[in-house]
Amino acid sequence: MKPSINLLEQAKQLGLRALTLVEGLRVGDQASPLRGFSVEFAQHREYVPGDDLRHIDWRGYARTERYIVKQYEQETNFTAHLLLDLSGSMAYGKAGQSKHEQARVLAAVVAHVAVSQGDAVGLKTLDEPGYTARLAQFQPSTKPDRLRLLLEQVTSLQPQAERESEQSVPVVAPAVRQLAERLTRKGVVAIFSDFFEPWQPLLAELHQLRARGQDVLLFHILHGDEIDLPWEGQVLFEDLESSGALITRPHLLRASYKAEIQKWQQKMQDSCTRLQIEYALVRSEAPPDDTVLTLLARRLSKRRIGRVS
Amino acid sequence: MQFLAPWMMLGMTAAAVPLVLHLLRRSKPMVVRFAAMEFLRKSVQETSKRIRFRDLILMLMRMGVLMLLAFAMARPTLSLISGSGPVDAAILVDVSRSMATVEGQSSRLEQAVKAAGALLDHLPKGSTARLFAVSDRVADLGIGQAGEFDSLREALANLAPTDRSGDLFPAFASAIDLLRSSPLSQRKVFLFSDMQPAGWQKQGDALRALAKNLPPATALHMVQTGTPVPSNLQVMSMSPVAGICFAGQRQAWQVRIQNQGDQPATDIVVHLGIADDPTGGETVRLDRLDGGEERAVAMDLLLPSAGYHPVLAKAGTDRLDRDNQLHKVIQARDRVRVLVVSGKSSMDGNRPAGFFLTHALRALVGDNSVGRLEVKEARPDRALPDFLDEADLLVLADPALAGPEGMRPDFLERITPWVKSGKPLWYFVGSNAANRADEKSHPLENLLYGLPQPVRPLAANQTQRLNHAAIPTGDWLGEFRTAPLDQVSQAEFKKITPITSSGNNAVARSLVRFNDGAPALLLAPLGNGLVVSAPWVPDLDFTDLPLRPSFVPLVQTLLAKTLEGAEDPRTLPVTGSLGIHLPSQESAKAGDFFWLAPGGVKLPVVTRKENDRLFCFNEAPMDKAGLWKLQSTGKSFQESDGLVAVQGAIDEGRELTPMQPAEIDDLFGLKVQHEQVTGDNLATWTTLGEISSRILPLVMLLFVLEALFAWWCGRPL
Repeated sequence: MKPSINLLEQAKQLGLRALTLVEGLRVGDQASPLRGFSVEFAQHREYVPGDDLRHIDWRGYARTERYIVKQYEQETNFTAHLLLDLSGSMAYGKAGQSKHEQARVLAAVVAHVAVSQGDAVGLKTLDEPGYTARLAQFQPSTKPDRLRLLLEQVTSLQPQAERESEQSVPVVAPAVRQLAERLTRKGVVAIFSDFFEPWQPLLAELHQLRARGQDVLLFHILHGDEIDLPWEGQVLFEDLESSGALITRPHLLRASYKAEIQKWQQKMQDSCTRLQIEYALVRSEAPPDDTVLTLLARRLSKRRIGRVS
Repeated sequence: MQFLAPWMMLGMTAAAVPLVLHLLRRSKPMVVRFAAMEFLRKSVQETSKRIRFRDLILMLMRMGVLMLLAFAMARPTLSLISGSGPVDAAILVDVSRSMATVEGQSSRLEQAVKAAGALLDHLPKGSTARLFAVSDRVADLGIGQAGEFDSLREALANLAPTDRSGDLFPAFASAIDLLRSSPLSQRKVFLFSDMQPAGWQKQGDALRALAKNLPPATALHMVQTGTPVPSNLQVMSMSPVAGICFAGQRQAWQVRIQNQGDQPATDIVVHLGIADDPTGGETVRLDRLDGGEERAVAMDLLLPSAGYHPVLAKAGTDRLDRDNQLHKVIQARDRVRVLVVSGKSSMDGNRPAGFFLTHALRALVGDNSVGRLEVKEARPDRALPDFLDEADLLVLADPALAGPEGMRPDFLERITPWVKSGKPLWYFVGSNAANRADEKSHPLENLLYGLPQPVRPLAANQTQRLNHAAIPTGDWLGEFRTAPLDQVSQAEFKKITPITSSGNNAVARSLVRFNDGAPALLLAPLGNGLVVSAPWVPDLDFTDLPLRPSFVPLVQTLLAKTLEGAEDPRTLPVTGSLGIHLPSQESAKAGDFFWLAPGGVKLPVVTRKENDRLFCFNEAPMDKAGLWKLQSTGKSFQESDGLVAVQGAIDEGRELTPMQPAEIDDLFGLKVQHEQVTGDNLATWTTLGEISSRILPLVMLLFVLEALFAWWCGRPL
């Protein structure tokens, strides 16, 4: 599964706008918390020695007879950290429609857009402990060559169903915690996962991330089967992430199951709204174009957000 | 419960199909590797109990549908004798006359017998059955135990309808009494009857009282055979208009026919003739007889010679033929000589007290019989003992008992032995009876069971009339119940002792009473003879009775009955005892006799000597109407002397339409089980019929419910 050229072009044109103030190393398109001298006026302040005389507001001096320096918002680039869930549950779906493929596409699109606008992109794949061999981590880079390399390597990683442990282990929440502890600069964090793990711990970690001023995007990737439970008759369900299994007649549970899934998804969405986290539900078997473009466009029109307490 | 197609019960195994399908499907589930297991588990947790319950219900419904279907296909039949365990059954079979009514190809009794046989076949193992034949009496036909009912089947096969009336209460009482001591826990009384109202209307509240004291676990089953009969002809009576018959003389007869149904009968052929002579007699055709209508048909009959003749009246044919004919044994006489000893009329000295009576006697027989009925009149003081030698009947019409105008002592002395020799005496007591010498020593005292008293003056506002209602319906005077018998008397007997109406020792009985209860017409046997005494005079001085239309028939009836001899009847009701006196000249030995019953069955005869005559009777109860013939191997015995006509129960021809179950329930005061047997279900009536037709709708309903439920549960087939 690959993103279409059309999608990439359109996404590139829309760009990925950080809704928070980001702190980059280079001047870029994104708003920085640091005041500098740029195009976007920020505020006036008293002149102090050492200030560049070019920035003295002479008109203000004429009115007030005081040296006032005009400050402009500093525009910088951001660092986007992409967390790509490659746990067993992401393996669901036939070839071309699986969740991890969809996650890869989405991550690639986001990375491509970010790199193309000069932002740095780092990626970390998430998997269960003990499977570090499948893990990949790329330090943030703005270079397109690095991005290509990154994407090629990620493509080669396949999630594998874990059938040995008795219980599935959460992977997103630890990764988010680790990231939150490590990040020193404000940036963008995009998580691509089905989030089949306890929501409250994950939410707490997301809260921490947001409290540190990170702009968080959740790409909630589910397969249609996981939403609609389409099977009939007697079905043996084997857990993709543990040795658990369940025999049941799904059509008898369908209504109840769908209600549960909807409730869970709604709860996630509400929590994200409260934490000002961008949330997008993506069906793995459907092209992601609309979802991605809508998200990017929506971000353009959104007001800047601050950090949460 | 029985099954007409029991092999279909194998279909019950189909009930396992849903279970097997369930297990088969369970054994090969589709495997899906799935991620959202947590939500799946939560849903299962939430819904599993409900789903399991619904599944269980659904499976039970499906199994129920299949089982019920197999059950229905096996054609189950419910049995009347439900439950396990032996039954103590009392089987009452009605053998009254109405059971001879034809129902298609068989009679009601034949149907009842078949139905009772089917009951015996279906009684549970170890059951006991008792069989009773029921008419107006109960005959215990035996008991079968532990399922051995061969003797009962034989007894059933031998049952034949009688000509007796039905009275069901004694049968129920006997059966329930026997069941009371039954050691078995289930007791049942089965009555096989046409449920003719006549059998139920004699019990009053007795049945209700009986039903209240039923032994525990006793069920009453009324098994009705027979269908409504729209019309039924019955010959009610026949009699010579003159009351007596003379040999060689064609005489007028009256045959009374009634249609006892409620629909008209048409084209009725009425025949009157001598029973043994089918070619003789007279036939009259009636176009129509409405329902409930009774008609007297005038016919002629010639009895060729003196002696007893069996006369038979027949009227058409219908479903109950036995009451379409009536037998009577009539004595034809060469002549009848009547000696009338008449006292003076109290009003008219020139007219004797027996004036009207004499003329009534002469009027009876018409012109042809002049000379056959010879009436000789004599004044009391001129009646000689020799006159009695030439008399067949003596009539004392208020003669003076003593005095110069009274009867001569030698005449008086002769009367008693004359009567005892077998002659009849009529004694009408009037005011002349007051004139007598001494009550105690009067020779007539023995005849009259009390001496007549002088005329009792009645007050101006007092009237005395014959009490019609006091005449028993079954009596030969019963026809006068509705006739207007007016004021007749002011006289009375001082003592009438004893007067009883029945019993072997009866010496006198009251035929008619006055409205104040006093006897108005007494009948008393005396030796072989008979005395009819009346404390009134058939004279206009006392009453206008002689001018009434009923006077001549009354005299006629008296004449016919008393001439026959009260103790020697040749026509009997079936409810009576069969017995006749042979003429005194008969000297054959008792062992020579036998009874030839209607149908040709020979029965033994019991004999005993009575007043120098031989009384021949039958100890067994008589239950067949028709001609019974006492026959003898003795050469001197004339066959006509041994003829007896037996007449069936007259009430059995009425209301052949069965009683309604609700009416019977009302009589018992409780709801009893009612069954109807016909030609179609005689062998299977104990099985209440196939219930497949009742089960199939249930199967359909359950199937529809199952489908709806399955659809609702999301588990269609």
